[in-house]
Amino acid sequence: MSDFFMFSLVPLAVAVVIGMTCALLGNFLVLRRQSLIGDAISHVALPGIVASFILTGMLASGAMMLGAGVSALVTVVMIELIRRLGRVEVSAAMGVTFTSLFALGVLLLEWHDAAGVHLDVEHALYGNLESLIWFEGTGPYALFDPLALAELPPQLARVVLVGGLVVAFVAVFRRHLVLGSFDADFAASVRARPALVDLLLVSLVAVAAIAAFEAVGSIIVIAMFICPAAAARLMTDRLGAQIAWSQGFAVVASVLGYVLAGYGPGWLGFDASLSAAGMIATVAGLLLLATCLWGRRRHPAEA
Amino acid sequence: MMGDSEAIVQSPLAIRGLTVSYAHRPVVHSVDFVTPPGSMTAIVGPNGAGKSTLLKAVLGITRRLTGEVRVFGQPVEAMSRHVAYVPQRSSVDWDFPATVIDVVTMGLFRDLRWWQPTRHRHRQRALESLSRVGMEAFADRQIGQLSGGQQQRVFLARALIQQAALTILDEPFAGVDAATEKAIVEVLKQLKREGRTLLCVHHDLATVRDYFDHVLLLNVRRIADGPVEEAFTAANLQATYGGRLSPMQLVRLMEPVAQGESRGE
Repeated sequence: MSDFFMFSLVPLAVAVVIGMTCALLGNFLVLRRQSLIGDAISHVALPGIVASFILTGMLASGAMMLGAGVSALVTVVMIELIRRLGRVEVSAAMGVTFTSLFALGVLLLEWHDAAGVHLDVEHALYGNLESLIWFEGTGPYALFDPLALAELPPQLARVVLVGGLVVAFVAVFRRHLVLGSFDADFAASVRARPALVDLLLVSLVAVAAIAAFEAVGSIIVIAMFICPAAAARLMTDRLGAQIAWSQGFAVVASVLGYVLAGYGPGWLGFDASLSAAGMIATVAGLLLLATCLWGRRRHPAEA
Repeated sequence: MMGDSEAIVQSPLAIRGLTVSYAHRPVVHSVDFVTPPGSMTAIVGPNGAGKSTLLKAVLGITRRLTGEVRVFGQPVEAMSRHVAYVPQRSSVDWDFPATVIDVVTMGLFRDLRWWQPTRHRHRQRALESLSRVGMEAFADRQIGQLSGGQQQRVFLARALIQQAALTILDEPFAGVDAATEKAIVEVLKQLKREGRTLLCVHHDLATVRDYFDHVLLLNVRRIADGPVEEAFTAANLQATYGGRLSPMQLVRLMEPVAQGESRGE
């Protein structure tokens, strides 16, 4: 039991909070057919973080967040520039932007590795969910012990803060988001500021992606922006219900993925464990596959 | 500056020197137009004449390069509450997860602050708007299940709920059947009887005389405007369409509408 509190509680909580946060924003990305933007932003966090390492020479999370934030802004601007100057579709512009910037990040990383500091591509992709150990978490009573709680890994507080920010944003701007997603012209005509809300949405996607990236790597972020919301869309035709489904799917994927990664190989007789982030993303993908096959709303309505 | 003449103060939409350009090419060039209050005005012109762009620039959807837009003599930015907009039906994704009544209540956007839930009385207002367009039975229907004509009527209901002095419509009859067209025209004429003003991009030259009392002929620039009998002339139409209308067409368009056998039925 003490194992659970020390080794599993925090990673599980972080995974669930990040999953729900990304899935909540993902609903609006899916409705706007902008799912790829989450993918793009979480990829380009890498060069930003590496650049901030190289500039500051340390693993300070403040500098990392700043670096990732700057590169997220660069991405949004770059996508827009490529789309306008190249006159290509937005998805093509995103594809070009995030692959090239991620590649730049990998090159920077290798150069950085030569300097002998630990940070690698694997870490960037899969994060270090399993390393979020709560050393003071020796049992359930630790949950009520201020001293033990003070020793919680800081990533947990950070993702909870970002999660709260995202929930507040969606609650306050829910009508703006819905109106802008469904009919941006009408939204502009009633002064709902669709362009501004769009920018806020992308900024929050960047904030969520960066906070999650640091804790759990980019794979899980990409999966959680797309899979739960897309799967939820296949379950219902009501937006409220879709959001509820997406939150449920995010929790199921996080918990099931974590448990399967930790204990699955053991059940099969192998003495090993798998990457929790990788398994969570896989479960999220399988949930989407399942709703594609059996979802109630898998065929768009005949107009 | 636009003068504060009587006509401009009374007009729900007065435009002066409005220019919009895409990639350094003017799409709408220096258009002046004063919408007569209580009128039902058609904006007529060939494809690419800038009709939709003119409306979008007026509504603040597209940025205008130059020009002034006034609503009852005040800048439109402060007065946009008095203007309702019915976009082209094809401009949105109808597979969006929303019901008919959800879409109509979107018209109440300005009346609802973020902490206010959508209440029974808002639903009631939405149902009233829907019944005016004969769609109350569809309130809880998924919007993806509607026909084109039904979609158009839902969009109209969303504008009705705004109770605006001026309603701007972008091709409300595009892709709807004759019965729906007739139903929509009846709703618009009812609005006009209530003293509201309608401004409508319209494509079917044959029905201009039946439906509208004023017309704005547009081809990037304003070609002519005024009451239909005065401005909707063969000469003005040829100027608007660059001489591409056949003499036969023009003769037919100039015939006064015979009572009881109006077109579009």
